[in-house]
Amino acid sequence: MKITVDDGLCDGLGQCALVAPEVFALDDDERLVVAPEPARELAGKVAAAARACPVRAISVEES
Amino acid sequence: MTEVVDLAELAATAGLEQELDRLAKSQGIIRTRQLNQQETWTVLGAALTRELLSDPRLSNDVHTHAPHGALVPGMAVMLLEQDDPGHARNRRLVSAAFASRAVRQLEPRIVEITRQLLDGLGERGTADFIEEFTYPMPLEVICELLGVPAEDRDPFRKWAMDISAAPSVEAMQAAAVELFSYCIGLIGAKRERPTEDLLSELIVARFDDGSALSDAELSSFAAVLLIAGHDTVTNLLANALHDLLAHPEQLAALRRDPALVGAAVEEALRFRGSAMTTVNRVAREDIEAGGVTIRKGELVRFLLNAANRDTEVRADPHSFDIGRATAQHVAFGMGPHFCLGQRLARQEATIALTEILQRFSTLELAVPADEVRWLPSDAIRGLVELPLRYAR
Ligand code: HEM
Ligand code: SF4
Repeated sequence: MKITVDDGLCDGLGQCALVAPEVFALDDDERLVVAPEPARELAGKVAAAARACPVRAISVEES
Repeated sequence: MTEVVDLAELAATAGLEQELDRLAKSQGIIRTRQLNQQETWTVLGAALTRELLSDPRLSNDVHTHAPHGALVPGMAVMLLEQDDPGHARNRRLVSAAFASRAVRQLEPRIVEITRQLLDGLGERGTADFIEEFTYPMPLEVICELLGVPAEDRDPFRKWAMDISAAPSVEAMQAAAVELFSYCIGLIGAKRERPTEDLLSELIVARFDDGSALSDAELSSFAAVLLIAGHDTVTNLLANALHDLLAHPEQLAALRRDPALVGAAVEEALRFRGSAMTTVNRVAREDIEAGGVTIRKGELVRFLLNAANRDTEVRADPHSFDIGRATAQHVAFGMGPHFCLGQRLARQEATIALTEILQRFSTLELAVPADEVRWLPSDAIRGLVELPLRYAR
């Protein structure tokens, strides 16, 4: 699973982190930190996190 | 069948929150009647709220899927009544104006507006703080941000009241139509004479494919930003002042340590947020949730003030405690429609509370606590007026 976040779009709102805290977190400067290689079992949660993003900054490629 | 609750009627009483709790204990999702007599499913439980607010089986595009659930028939509200991809596309266009940096830059001006309004109150007296402060303050802020001329602002209070706490569907829709036609005129004027503000920027903004917002879209954007951007803050500020005054030990703690103001704002949002219910969603397919079946085409909305007092996620939710460890509240919603203006709202509330407490060492309710009147609204939680006695 390859997760890409468009930094130009990401607004640091953390809606993704509420849905999939195992994978997404915000640092102190509201910058998004993505876990490098999330477990396959988290694919559903990652997809839900991408949908929760108000600006659709997250894209996921299945590998 | 289950009882159908009239939220606006309940909201006119101080006991709304306790009554919602009683309902939530037996059911996480209930039936409520809206102003236009439509019935909707209304989600109360915190877990169900978090789950369903990002569920793609629920659509915000009621105009396409359930026109009777629209705020105003035939007038799709930008962002709030849109689904992705159109929603995300529009949201990207405005998000920079509400990002942290942009909002921080507004701080000095918000402080100035706040102080000017407080200056108007003088050294001591009795006044309705909604009329004198919590209404004009956020209105000035959002109008400056958008570029609404000062002389145009008189009708806004009536429009906002009629839209969020309408006596009838007709009054609500008439106010929305007036607001919308005002915004069409405003956009026209800015097209001719651009100024330095958000609306002028939106007129020239282009999507990736080079296209621009139409006049109808621009007007709808202006209208939603104006109403969502001031009425909610007005009522949150009044609720926060009311709840602090009703809990003198909490007010005293905040006076002792002004650095607690951020925590006080969060607790005020959790305890009695002003955006009580979300806009309607419509089910795209049958959904099993909270022990009921939501049928395709049925309306669903979220009662955020109930979720924020869910006993399953919070100990003692009916006590107002600015020292509580803040489990995430949903006063700004969640998921794709998470409030665009939450940073601005938090900043306005922080500045307002700080300045008011600094200025007035005496601040108390000027009417007996049980005579305070609540808006009969199923959308906004707020007070009709907030008469306070104050002194330097
Ligand atoms: C204390 C003040 C405020 C509260 C409690 C609040 C609450 C909310 C809530 C709950 C939603 C989601 C509604 C839903 O999902 O149906 C929302 C959306 C929105 N809010 Fe706020 N809001 C506040 C202040 C503001 C301000 C200052 C602005 C400034 C412009 C604003 C602009 C918006 C907009 C444009 C949306 C729609 C976002 C979307 O659909 O993507 N709000 N707000
Ligand atoms: S939800 Fe979207 S905008 Fe918000 S932090 Fe996550 S990626 Fe960024």
